[in-house]
Amino acid sequence: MREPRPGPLAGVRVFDLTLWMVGPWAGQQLGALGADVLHVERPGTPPGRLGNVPPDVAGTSAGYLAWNMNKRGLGLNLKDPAHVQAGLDIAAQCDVFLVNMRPGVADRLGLGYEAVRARHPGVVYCDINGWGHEGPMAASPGSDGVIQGYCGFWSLNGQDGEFYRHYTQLDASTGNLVVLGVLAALHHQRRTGEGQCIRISMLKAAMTVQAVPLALTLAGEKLRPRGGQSQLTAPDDIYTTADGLHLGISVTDDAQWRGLCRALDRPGLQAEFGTNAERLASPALGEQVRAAIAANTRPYWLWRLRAERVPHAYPLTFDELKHHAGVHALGLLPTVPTPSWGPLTTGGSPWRFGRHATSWTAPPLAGEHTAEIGAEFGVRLP
Amino acid sequence: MSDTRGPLDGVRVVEIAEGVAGPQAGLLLADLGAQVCKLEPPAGDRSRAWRDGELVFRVLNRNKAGAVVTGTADALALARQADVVVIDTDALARWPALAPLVDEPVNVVLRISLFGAEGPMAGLPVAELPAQLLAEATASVGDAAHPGRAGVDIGSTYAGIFGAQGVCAALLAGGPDVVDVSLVGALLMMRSTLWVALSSPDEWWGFHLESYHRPPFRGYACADGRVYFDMRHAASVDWDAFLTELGLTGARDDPRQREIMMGGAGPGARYADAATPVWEQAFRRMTMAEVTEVVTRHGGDVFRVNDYPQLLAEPQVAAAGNVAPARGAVPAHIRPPWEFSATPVPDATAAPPLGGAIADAGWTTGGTS
Repeated sequence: MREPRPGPLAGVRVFDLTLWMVGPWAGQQLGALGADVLHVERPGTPPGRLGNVPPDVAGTSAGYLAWNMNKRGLGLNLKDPAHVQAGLDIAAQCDVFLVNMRPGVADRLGLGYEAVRARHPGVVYCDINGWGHEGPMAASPGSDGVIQGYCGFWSLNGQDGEFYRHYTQLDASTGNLVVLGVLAALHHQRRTGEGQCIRISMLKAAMTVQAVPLALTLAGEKLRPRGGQSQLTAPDDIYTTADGLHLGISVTDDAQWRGLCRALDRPGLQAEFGTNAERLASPALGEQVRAAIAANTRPYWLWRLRAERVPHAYPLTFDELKHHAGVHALGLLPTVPTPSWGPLTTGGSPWRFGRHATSWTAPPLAGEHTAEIGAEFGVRLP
Repeated sequence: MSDTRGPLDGVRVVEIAEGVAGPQAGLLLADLGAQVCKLEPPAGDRSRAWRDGELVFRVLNRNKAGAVVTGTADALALARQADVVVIDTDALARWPALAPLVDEPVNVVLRISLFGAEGPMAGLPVAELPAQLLAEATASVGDAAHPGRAGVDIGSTYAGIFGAQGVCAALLAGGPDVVDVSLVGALLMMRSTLWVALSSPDEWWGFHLESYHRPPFRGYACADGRVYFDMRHAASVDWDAFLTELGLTGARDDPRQREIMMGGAGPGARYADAATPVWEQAFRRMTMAEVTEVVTRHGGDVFRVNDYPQLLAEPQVAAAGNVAPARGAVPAHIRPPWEFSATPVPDATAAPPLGGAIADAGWTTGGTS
């Protein structure tokens, strides 16, 4: 008998009919929180064909492995009506249904909201796509790089606007907002018995994540990339110390500004630039701080800034993070044993609950758990 | 019994947090229909002084009621009446008398920190740039000599989203609980693809592995702007015809250059860095519309690289309908991303002015007073 997953969502069942990144990422988080997530793949899909984001790890795309942990594998051939029927029989017993197909495709397959709701009126059905259900781009493919470029995310990065390369951002944050919407709808469902359909697009989620710069733009402000500098507060930048090392300092309020002036031994600066607006508007202040920081070593500044409670940090490397006591203390970067791919290190849970565990387990092979799921749900799979 | 007050209607939240991360969590809960009361120090949330004017504060704190903390006993009492408390470690450091909220929880408490509320990195002030540096995010912007930052406050924003998730999960489980979310943890989790790719890759390539040695990518320059293009979704490409039409006959005729162009069509492609300047030789002579016409005809995809004003002018954004115009004291802003069929999210109300007594805050039946 299968051990139930621990976590605050223990007992919640999720039918995960998702592809690529956004949907799988959402299902994976629900699984980390304890839900029983049934991830659908075409039966018999070889490990080398599960996803195609390079590199492969032991023959399978790192993308598939990084986005499908914490799930069981359910094999369904959606072109076979008998398989679709079996899928509906299982979905009718699930609390949540996740799908990220282009608009209309799930309906055509017989797995749209109306079809699932007819079997289970209380279902929380979440329909995710790239660009929304209306408009000239509704049928266009959406991916993280495309959305980053289109949605202005590049326009504030670095010195001249650039792709936040090698770092999934707006696909993963869409998945995060999917999870939040689903959990809120489950709360309503538990209270009232009422299910519903949630629609969300990568476009809208990307704009939600960028709500602050977009609101500034709507108010007529012209934002430009500022290198390491904040758009909102100053001094808040990446500096170089006398030993040639990088050090970030963030002054986000007047108390921290007073602390920085003490740390710099420059009490006169404090009154000269008394408000954040004055500090932000003054390139001269930026240069003065830059020169002051360049006059001493990083260990010296770490000592002074910590004593004055001025927010600061220096960049860690991936290797340093893997062995960092703070990372281990929070249970981050867990290494997950897997039977097919060896040990996989992943990011881990962003939440720690006082009363509940969260867990990260191996991603499934396509259809790996079809037989046991069929038996548990009382559904005969053709 | 559908309502138009959001799926979290009836959930009462006290928020004692400043800046972006904690207020972002409170805002998302408010967007979802929770009744949020924000408690500020007498000088106000630090974001009231950000940029120039209170716009950042008003965007992050709309849909909330508010009061000022003059005595911690009142704040503690109000927080204990709530279903949810959102608090950051800066507030716990400022007001040690609020420690019982997390030490002896009576409701769901979300505690936001930079890098853990306990453990070796506990007690650090919550701020965006330190989180990006500690989580190695800055290695992916700029170059080794000039590390940059993500222009969007991703560490704080993601921590806010994960925090709201954690609150909802704890509410579903029932009973009091303390949910800890850190900015560094949020950023490390968001980088899971890279961490898995680093585990034991079969081959050392792929955009998730090359953070250190790829130059910044800024899109493909055309005569009148920059585009993103790739050929990934093309069923098949007639490369001879495509390269000929673009005037890239050198790439067509030289087998090595041809290999680089075919494997470098798109920023995530194997030879993208070598191929990009060659694609740009053709694209710079063409408008974005002309590039779009040619590339899509050959099966590829082209998207414009926008800044924010250009994004807001896009027809697709108009179709999405998620830009809310200014209304009274509510500034123009981006609406929440969800369309709930049964529990539409409520319209925004204005952020609280600074001031107000805790005795007058709190909730009456049906919402905030």
